[in-house]
Amino acid sequence: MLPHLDAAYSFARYLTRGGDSAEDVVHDAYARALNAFSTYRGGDAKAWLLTIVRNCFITSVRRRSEVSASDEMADIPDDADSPEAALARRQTAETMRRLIKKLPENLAEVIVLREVEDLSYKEIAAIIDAPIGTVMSRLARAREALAKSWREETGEVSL
Amino acid sequence: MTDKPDCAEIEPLLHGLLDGELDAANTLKCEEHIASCSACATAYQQLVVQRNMIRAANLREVAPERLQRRVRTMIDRKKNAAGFLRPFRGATWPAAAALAAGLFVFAIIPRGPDLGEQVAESHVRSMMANHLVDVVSTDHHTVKPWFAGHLDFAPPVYDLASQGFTLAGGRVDYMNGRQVAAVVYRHGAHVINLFIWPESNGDAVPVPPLVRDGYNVRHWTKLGMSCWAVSDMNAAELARFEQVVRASNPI
Repeated sequence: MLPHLDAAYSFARYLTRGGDSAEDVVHDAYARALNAFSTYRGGDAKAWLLTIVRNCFITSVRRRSEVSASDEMADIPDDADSPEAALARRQTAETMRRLIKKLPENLAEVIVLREVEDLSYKEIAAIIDAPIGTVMSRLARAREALAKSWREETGEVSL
Repeated sequence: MTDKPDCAEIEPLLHGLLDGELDAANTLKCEEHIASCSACATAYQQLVVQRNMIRAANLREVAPERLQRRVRTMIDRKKNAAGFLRPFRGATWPAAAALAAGLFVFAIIPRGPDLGEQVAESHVRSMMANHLVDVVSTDHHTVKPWFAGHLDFAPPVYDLASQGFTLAGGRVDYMNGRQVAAVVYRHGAHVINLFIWPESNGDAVPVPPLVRDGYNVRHWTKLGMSCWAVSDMNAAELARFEQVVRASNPI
């Protein structure tokens, strides 16, 4: 059981824009984490691991300056839904995913860390190595940009 | 946007309110303002709708099996290499042990079974075997009587939807040598198993928050019941869940 592997992988997929290099980034991150126990000072293990994932991603980008072509992300079906609800949910999820991926990188990552990984401002600030004020302003901008693109995409005014 | 004098001050705080990051004074200030200002109330409502939509979209991805194998192999190799445990000695031991439990638990030293471990294992089983709930309902009026027909005690069931924890259902589990109630709540993409059984001697000993198999575990007693909450939520959120449950009256 590797409890935070999915979180690490999800985050890497957003960072790499759905690229295949996400797996290598996560593999590198675990390798670094294994060698870096001594730098761990308690706190949320997931947040610590995601910090390493992000650092590995930055290293890999510098190394290859690669942003791979995005392929569609795997869908996660939910057996509890009725077929219609499942379809609607999948479509909403698909749209949301696409719109988040279209956000500028620095906005996409704060949204993913906050809404998908449920981390606090403080934890996000530590991961992206920025002040909490920056986390707050980026989150606000990210949400505004998402709402705008959602309206443009769906024609709905509710967001 | 509006002629109210303090909207400009409130607007940036709405995100903090949504994210549960405001202190009590600012929370109160925001809530009072929202109650009297329809523009800010609408703006906040939209944030809530967007949040729910993002969370309902279930954007978490599952790591491919190939990756799981790669990482496991690496950890196994590392574990077998001499000296892997050396960094654990000395002052960083507690932090390193907590981390080990969080990230690499299957590869580390065997640990005696404890109740926290049982709770975490049961949580994992409930997620893996597609056996999360026996009674699927977001309505506590359905879940509570269901338990009455399946257990010899009446576990408290709470309506916590307004605090962001929606009831998903319940099941009967077996733990600590007896049948226990597992009440399942959801928070965004996270699942919380709340295990409940009548308190016995020993349960009154306070258990500090634990990390078992990478899951956060909290224990408390209330109304003569021993309560164990386990989730993949972060420690702060699970602490909030405990607070909310403790402050709520069962239905």
